Amino acid sequence: MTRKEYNNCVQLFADRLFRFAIKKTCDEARARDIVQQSFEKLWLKHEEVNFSKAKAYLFTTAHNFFIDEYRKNKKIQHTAIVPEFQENRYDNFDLKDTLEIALKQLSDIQKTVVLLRDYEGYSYKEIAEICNLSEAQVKVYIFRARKKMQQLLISMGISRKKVVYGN
Amino acid sequence: MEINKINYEQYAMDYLEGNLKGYLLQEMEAFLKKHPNIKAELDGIELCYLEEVNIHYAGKESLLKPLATPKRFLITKQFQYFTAAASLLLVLGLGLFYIKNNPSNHLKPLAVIEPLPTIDSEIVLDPPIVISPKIIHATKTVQKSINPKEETRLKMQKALTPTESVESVKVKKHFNTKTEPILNKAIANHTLEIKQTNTSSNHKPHKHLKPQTHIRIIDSLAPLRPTVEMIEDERLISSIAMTTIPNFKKASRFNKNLVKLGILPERKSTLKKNLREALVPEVFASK
Repeated sequence: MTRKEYNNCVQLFADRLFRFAIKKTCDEARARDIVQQSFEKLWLKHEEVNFSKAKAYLFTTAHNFFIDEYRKNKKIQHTAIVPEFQENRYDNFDLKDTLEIALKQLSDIQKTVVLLRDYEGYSYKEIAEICNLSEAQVKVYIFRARKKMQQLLISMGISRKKVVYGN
Repeated sequence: MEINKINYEQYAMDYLEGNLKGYLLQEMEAFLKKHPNIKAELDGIELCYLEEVNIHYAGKESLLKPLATPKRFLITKQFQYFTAAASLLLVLGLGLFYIKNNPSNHLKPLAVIEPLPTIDSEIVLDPPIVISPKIIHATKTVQKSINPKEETRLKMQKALTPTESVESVKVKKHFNTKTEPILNKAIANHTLEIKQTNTSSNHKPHKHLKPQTHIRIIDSLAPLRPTVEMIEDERLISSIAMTTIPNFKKASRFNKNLVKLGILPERKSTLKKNLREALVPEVFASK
């Protein structure tokens, strides 16, 4: 990968990687660090990494950083506090925010595979390569994640029709 | 493969997304008919996807690498060795060039060793001196008893080999005109003396020289005549006499006769001294 291609990677994938990181960590500073470290590693290996594989390399690197951090801070869990369901808040509740809240309830690996699938559009096979899992495992993780999100939405009183089409 | 409660999850997403086909699709539908509660779960999540969110990363510029970077010259180790060797050679070359082209920097020798004249070298004196082979023969016979201090002197004598240069021929002609009549007179006187001693039976022979000796002297002097004529140095004339006449006393007597005849100057003591020192040290050593 040339210097120019690397710069193209920055322009194309920095926002996406930052989104992936911030959704996973719920911490902007940490997400920035992860993005910076991932691109630094890409630059170090830019002569070996092909431009077509750069995106997958960036997300794999970021995922590995998350795993390292998780191993270091096993006891610390970055889970958002789910707001208690309130009948009077339901009508003003945004579906987007509800899904965001539901996403935060997922485990790390569930969150990762759902983010890669929904935001980046990766196939199950590509997600399996990034996360170093089997394709069947990825499918199971995604199914369980969606099931969990659905249960949360139902518990919040959002019907299937509303989930699919918003308001 | 039969789809059951244990493995249905890995086919659920493909079923919801419409990617399950053929035999597996039939298996899945059959499984969901058997388990309506699971079918109800799937109905609730079939399209529960995250919506697109646009998030901008503000630190892109810090991640970009400048495109127009100056080309760096890669200095390898081999190039470093090469440059070091080249610079060393250049410095040495410049130093030698400077020393060679700057006369003030020339190294002065501590001592100059001049080669000693060898036997083969030819020394032409002014005027050239030609010594008879007989003299050289005599010096060779004496050489055995000469101490090492005289070695250099003998080498010089050996170097004085007979030469016939243009100058020597001129000198020879010059001395022939001057000395030949005198020498002829001397030889004639000796011959007369010998004849007188032979003819007068009552007369005693010369107290110093026997007739046979005189004859031998004259005979031996005859081939030396051209050589003697051209020699001006008295010491060399004396040396000729000494080499020709083995006995020193007889030689001295001969020299005296030469002095009487006016061939040699009256400096007998100098003659003897020179003879002792230069040519026949063994004679005086025996004495």
